[in-house]
Amino acid sequence: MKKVLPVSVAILCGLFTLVDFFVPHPQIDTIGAKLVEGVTILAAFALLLGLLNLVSVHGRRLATKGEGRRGSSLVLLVGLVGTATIGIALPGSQALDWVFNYLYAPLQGTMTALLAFFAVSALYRAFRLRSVHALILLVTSLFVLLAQLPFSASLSPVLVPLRDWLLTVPVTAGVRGIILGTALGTIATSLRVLLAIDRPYAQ
Amino acid sequence: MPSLTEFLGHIFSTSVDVAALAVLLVFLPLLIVLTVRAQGGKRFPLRPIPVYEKLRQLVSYATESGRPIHVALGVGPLGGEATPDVVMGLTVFDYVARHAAACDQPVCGSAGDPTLLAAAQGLLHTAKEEAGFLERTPGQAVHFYGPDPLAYAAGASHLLGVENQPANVLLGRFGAEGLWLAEAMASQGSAQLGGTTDPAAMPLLTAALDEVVIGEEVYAAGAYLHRPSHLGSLAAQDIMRIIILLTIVIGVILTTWGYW
Repeated sequence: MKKVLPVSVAILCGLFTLVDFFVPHPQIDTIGAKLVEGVTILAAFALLLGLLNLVSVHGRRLATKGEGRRGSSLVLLVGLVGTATIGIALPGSQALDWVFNYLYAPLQGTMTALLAFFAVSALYRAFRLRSVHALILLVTSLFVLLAQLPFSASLSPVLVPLRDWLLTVPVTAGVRGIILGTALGTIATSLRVLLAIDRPYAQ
Repeated sequence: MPSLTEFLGHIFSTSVDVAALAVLLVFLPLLIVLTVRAQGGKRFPLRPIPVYEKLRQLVSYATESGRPIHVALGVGPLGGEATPDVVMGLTVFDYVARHAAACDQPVCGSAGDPTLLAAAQGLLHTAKEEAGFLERTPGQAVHFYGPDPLAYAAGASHLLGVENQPANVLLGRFGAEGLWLAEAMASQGSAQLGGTTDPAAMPLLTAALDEVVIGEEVYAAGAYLHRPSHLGSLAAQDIMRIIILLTIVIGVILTTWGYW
């Protein structure tokens, strides 16, 4: 019963949502919308669970003497409590805007900017000539980079048409193949969840 | 005389619905029949995928050495469009957790979405229960770092190295933040495996990880690791692929000759 009930509820809800997708009927649409709304409510409860996990992990770390990461845990907890307090006590206030504009947004910007350096580092490792694949990757990348330059047409009249052909024929064909395969995998996995062959919700 | 598309358009609201329904009506019975056959012991041939081969070896090594493998589950929620991706991440986490639990060894996971946290903790609980070590289920083996992709990447990269993981697996819904994690892993010198279905993140992870699965290979994790029932859906996918290929060829011929 402990497993049968959640599995039955999940299968019924899944099938109903699927029927709702194909059948445009006002009553079915209303019930389907309620089910989707239920997902949002459940996700909000899960967020509460995540919050408890975060506080528990970092609270315990903060209380442990000799733990090297106490500083970052303290920053995290202060940030969490501070932002939550301002958000609850002064919703929509300038103080909350200040937190987002002058703390959150700059931190996000900094981290996004760091991705450029990580990309260079990753490409440096990927371009090491360990195999024929790496050689093809290197030559193609260098060619596309060269052909993207504004003055590439003056270097050779072949460069730009060849770049366009490369991007529109082999690259697009490969990406479409991957997308088709991904779509099939997505359908198969979704059907497995729908038929309760995979049950991530009932463990 | 109305074309075939117009005729079907009168029956269904959009042509997208027709295509989706047609795929579903063919795929669903195929999947059921082949899954039943797989569960009955029928073995379908598999081509080797290096990531899963290596993961098997690393899980055995981690179990012997007592060091946990870190499974990064990404930031997609269970219940949204990312569900198939994160289910595969959870499948790999389940595989790692069961092997570790059998020898009462530690596990380590990180999640960027609270629904994943709950699901991963449930899998860990089940693994420990089945291994007979329920009372030793660690409450903090799965770490949650918030649903923001970059915040998750920063938190999870901080986790790396602390427990001296021999390997890190990135499987779930990852975008550009996967690159951050992969680079943090590379700096630790541990093995890095993983994959994504996001076309924008594929080149980044392909460059950054040691071994990578892309596209549909991500969804084959269960069949390759520990769930024979998934072999049925894999075989159904292959049959569907052939049907789609034939449909494309027929469509091209009909379009070229002006019948469509």
